[in-house]
Amino acid sequence: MLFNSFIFIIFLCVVVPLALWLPRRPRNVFLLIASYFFYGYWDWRFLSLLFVSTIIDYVAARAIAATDDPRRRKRFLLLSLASNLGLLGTFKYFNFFVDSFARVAAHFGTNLDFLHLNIILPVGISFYTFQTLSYTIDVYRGKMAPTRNLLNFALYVAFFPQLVAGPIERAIHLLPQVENMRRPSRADLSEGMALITVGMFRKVIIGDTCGRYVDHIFSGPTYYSSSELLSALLLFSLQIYADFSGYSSIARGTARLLGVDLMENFNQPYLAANITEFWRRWHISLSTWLRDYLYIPLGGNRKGPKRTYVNLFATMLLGGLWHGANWTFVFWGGLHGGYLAVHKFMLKARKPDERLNYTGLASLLTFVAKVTGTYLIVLLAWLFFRSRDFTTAFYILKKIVAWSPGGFSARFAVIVLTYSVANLVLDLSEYVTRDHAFPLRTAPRFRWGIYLAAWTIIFMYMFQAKPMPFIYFQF
Amino acid sequence: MRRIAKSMFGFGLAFVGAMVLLELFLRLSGAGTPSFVISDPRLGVAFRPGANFVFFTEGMYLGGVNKYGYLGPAYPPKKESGVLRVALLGDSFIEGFQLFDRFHLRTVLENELNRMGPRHAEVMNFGYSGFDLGLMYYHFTEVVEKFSPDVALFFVGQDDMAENGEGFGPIFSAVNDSVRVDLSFAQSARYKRSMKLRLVHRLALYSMARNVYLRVQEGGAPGILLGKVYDWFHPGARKETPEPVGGKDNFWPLNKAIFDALAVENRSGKIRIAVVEKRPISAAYREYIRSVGIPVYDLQPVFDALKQRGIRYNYWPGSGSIGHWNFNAHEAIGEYLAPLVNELAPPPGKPGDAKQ
Repeated sequence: MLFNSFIFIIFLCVVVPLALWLPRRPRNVFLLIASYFFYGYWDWRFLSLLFVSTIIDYVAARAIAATDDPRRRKRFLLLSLASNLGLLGTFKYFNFFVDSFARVAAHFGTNLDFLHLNIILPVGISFYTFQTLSYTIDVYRGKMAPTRNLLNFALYVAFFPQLVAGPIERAIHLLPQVENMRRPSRADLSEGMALITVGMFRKVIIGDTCGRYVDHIFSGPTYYSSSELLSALLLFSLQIYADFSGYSSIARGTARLLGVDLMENFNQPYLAANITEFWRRWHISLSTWLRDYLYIPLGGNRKGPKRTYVNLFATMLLGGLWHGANWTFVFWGGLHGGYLAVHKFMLKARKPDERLNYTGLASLLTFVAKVTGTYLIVLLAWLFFRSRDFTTAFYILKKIVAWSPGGFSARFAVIVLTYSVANLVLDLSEYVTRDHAFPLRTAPRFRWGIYLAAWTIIFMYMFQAKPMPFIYFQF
Repeated sequence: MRRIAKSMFGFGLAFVGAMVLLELFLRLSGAGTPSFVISDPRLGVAFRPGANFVFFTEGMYLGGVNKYGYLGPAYPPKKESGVLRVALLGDSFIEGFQLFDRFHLRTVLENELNRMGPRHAEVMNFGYSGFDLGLMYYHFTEVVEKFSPDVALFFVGQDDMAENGEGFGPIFSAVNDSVRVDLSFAQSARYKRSMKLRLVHRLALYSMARNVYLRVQEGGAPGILLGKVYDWFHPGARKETPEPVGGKDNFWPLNKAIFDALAVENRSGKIRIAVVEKRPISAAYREYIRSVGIPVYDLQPVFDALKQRGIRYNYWPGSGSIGHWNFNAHEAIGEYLAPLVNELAPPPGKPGDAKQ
């Protein structure tokens, strides 16, 4: 069920009032049923995977906590790791590795195509497997006690606002809220409405509309000029941000309507002044997950500078692989790993800059230069993220670098500028107010007028266009 | 009371202000397109001269209507001497709002003709979505002939044959083997309403609202609102049924009259007319068209050649849809037609020149 669909709005209009009316225990049962319905709407067959993952991690965590024997504890942790990563590996990566291996084998005259399986990638599998893994690992590390309530744990795993595309919630943060589900206050409802409105506007009006240009140009790059290809790349950087941050906003807003607080997943990443800061602002739930469960266990920055750079690179490489079963995603991750390693080397012991500290025009210009530089290296990496293969990526890169002035369209420049300004206005509103629900800063009479305008155009667009799925659903 | 009035005023101001900004955003970003057609008392609907827009179908179009009201470069009505002018007439396949003008068969044909020489060629796109043969013919007599084309290519398939049905625009009928045009639509309430709303039509928001209205009218609302839930209760309801292709049909007299009229133009020596089969037409129509001296060019060999090269001529990877001709098809058709056009209207002094 897509957030940007009428059926989801109808679903929300039924689920939220009913959930608020029910007492706590039946409310959790109802929300669990609603969450399973939400997930099963895609394809009911995948409910079994969700259920199995839930049961295994619930049992494994309780077994880990029930014993002091380190070997038994490790065995149950390995059970959780094996089942979650096994699910992920089978459904997401099996064909990728088989096909890659088959391409190499073909050079030696061996045909391994028969190993390719006909598998559909279950929606959200990358998210909920990481979420449940974080739970068992935290229990293993002694950071939290396992829950004794299977229903609450199942709801933590399957909570529909964040089930299919995050944020990847830590059990320490979400499970207590599920176990002590409170009724939302008026402030929660206002904030929820603001977050959903901003999220839908970003996703539907900015993300989906600029995505159409991107899809057409990237599907046939040989037909387009240097300026058109560059425009498509710039628009993709806006599309993926609007799409994913819009989704996260809707997820947070929806959860808020149920009295649940989900973590922020984006914090105006394109206003980051360096790459380290970018990763503190982009897909925060994933970057912190990778930091806590991969980078730090690998040694983090505790084993000397060279090992630090290797750990950074390896973590980002695997982070790239998490995004998709294609070598272009791995390359994208590797690029970011390289950027982070270089930045770490440059920083030495200094902390990365954070927000703009305005002391005059020079400080502003320096900030703008740093933000622009960071954006450009991120943009280069996006090229590989979006391209279906390296041939396409390098073709586009070559055509942009060896710039030919022909085919320049002022109209395209206006299109890119318009989307950039729209995105910047939303980001600056969040940046200045330090609040994703910034519409709440306006007086109610103005706010409701703006809401009505926003929802009018959102509904009209949703009605006339086929809903585009969220980009991160494919991960 | 004052507080309520103040609140209502603030609400209204914010709503209107936000809608103005959204209108600006839609126009500049191309996310919404103001109407680029206008009501016309003779033609029914016509392109709005000077309109500039973005249009998404299976593909993507960025361009506009030139100052003379047709698509592509603005070649003026007065043709320079020695220039070969070719007019393309057809429906959405010729209109080509799936790709930029530089990829359109218009441009390919023009470039090929210029390459082949010796004359300078101008190819003009008079395609219009939804045109059938009746509207193509009428447009030819009312608009295209004013540009003095040397060649006019009518792109038709069996489903494009004229029907004297009701619609918003001229209604055609065959009377004593001649084409009669009924322009009474210009007196209709619908036409008068569209004239009153012509400024509103130029709002992108209005276009969006109109699209919503049309989808509701088509009965698409339940499916859109309920998604899969609707499909569960109405399996197969949203699937399209294919159109049958027939032989002679109920509208044979009208189409015969149109081809007879075109044949008269063809024999006049001022213009050469040909029919291009964009989709198969019945043998009966094909034989008749040839019998009145109008050549019929079949595009099927072009599509077959593309298929043999493993190219799907109507597949659009960007949208994942099948529909109108894609880049490969336009290129192949333009290249295919160039020598045929030269044969149809050879340069002065060459064999076959009608003026010899």
